[in-house]
Amino acid sequence: MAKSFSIKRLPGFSTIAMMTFFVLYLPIATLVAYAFNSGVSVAMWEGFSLRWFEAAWNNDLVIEASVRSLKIASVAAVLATICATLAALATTRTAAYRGMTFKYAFINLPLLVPEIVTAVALLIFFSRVKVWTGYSGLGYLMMSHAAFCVPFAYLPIRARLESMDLSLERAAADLYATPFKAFRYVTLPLLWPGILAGLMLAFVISLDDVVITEFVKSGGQDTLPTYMLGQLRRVVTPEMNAISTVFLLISLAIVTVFFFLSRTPEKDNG
Amino acid sequence: MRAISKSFGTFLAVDNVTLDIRPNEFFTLLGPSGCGKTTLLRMIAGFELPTEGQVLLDDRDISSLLPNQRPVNTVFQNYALFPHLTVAENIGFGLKMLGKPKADIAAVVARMLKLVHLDGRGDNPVTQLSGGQQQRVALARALAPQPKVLLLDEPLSALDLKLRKSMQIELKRLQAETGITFVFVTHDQEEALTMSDRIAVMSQGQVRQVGSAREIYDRPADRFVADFIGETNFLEGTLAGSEGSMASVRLKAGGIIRAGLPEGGAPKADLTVVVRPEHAELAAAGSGTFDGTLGEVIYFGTDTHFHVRLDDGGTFIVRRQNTRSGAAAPETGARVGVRLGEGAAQILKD
Repeated sequence: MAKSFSIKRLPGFSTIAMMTFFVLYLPIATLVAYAFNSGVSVAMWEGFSLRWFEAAWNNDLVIEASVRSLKIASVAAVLATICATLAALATTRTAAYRGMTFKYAFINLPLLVPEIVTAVALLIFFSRVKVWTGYSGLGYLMMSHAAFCVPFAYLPIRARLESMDLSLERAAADLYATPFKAFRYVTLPLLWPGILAGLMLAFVISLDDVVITEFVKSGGQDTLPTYMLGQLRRVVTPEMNAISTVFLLISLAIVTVFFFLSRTPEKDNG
Repeated sequence: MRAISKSFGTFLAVDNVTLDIRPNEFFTLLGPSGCGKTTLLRMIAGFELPTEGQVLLDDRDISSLLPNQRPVNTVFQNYALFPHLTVAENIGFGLKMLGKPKADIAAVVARMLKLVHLDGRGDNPVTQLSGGQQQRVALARALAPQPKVLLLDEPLSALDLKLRKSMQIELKRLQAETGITFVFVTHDQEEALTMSDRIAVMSQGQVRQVGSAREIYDRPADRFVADFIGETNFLEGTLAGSEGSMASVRLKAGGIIRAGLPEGGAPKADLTVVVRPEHAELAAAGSGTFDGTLGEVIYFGTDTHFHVRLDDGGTFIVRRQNTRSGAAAPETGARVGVRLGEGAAQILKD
């Protein structure tokens, strides 16, 4: 039997693979481990304890920042997903038209623009808006996050739409469904997993953004990541580790759900 | 359908087609791929708008109506079943969109399931059905709202041969039972011949001939139709005289035959005559209409094809049904005659 090429047979493959995982995950493992340290050091193990989780839970600043983060991420993810769904429909559910590729590139451009550029641009823009309107609430952060989350939400929704046969909507129209009913009873139920996946991706991306938040936020508008950044400049205690660990768990949970949602199209190709 | 045309950019997909499809008939649009038959179907369904001309249904112009406003349903080539719905929900979809009461929908769905032999499968997800079953669900879904016209876009092409044969009979039965006008699109001439009341043969956006299977097979209007449907011998000749609908033609290969005239009489003095291989028989040299030398003899099981090399350089194929007793066949290379039966030959328009 002819042996087909397999990268697994190259010398040193497994060694390099193990080392890569080691380098990627050792710091995270250490971080999680020291979240349970009973001492005040993040480098010297003194015994097991949950005191830092308790400390974080009782720290009003942490809770406030967390709630703010969740608020911003929720609103931003919903806004971004609505825009992304409309954009995805407009770039897949019509006959090809002039400028469609351009639009596609335009939607995804924020992924390539350096974040710092977007951050500075938003800072300048919103400082003007603040002067005009006098409003200085969380709205600016929500808008900014929604803006850079659109391409992340767009990708899974578009992928899902592309796996859906256009003749389904045509069949619905043929069976007396008005365009709105065809969307409501055929497109939307089939697209739903894609929309949820987009929503979650946008939520996670918004949740851990630092650069844009740091630029756009006003005083007292720290989100969890910017609060942690601020803390790290002063004293580093395992409290940071504890917060990070909880953060990690939430992200893992969301990513797991995302994974299962984005896997379904295979089954639906009836 | 009246003087309908459709162009995509500079490409004319359907060129000035006028067709009159009668109520309750099984009408087939037959042609090679790219001949415009599917485009024509889509204009009836409303997925494409004609560039020129009108689509009339019961004398009402429906050309500008949206697909959901037309009492016309389609069975799609890939079925296009809704994967998130059950068999019953798929079949009831059209009625639900029309706002029919739930009890009525359930009754119709039950009747449809019985009609396509899927009783008891109503609650299954459509993704778990076989290709043949999905095909039947697609049919039931399109028939459930009782359309005036059912459009079928090569619905059998994805099925294997056995299943396709049984679905052909099934479709014919459904059409007879429901009394709905079927417009069927196919590139398979056998499918068209066995199922249709009438056939329109299309090529390059134009309708070449409309007629019953027998008319199209026995009296093809032009070279394209004769060549596309079944096997055909083409013979060159000149007009020797005519009376009524028949004419005498002097063949280049020798001999004079009587042949049917096309509508409108003989086009010109130099003619092409077509003869189906099964309408000719071998004879002793000198006793047939013309002579030739026997070339290949090909055995097909039910019948045998004899390739006769004519003296003018052409080849003429004679098909003979194989029987148990099996008359002795002449050897390759022998001189043989070919005898044409009365009414076997037909003159082409071009």
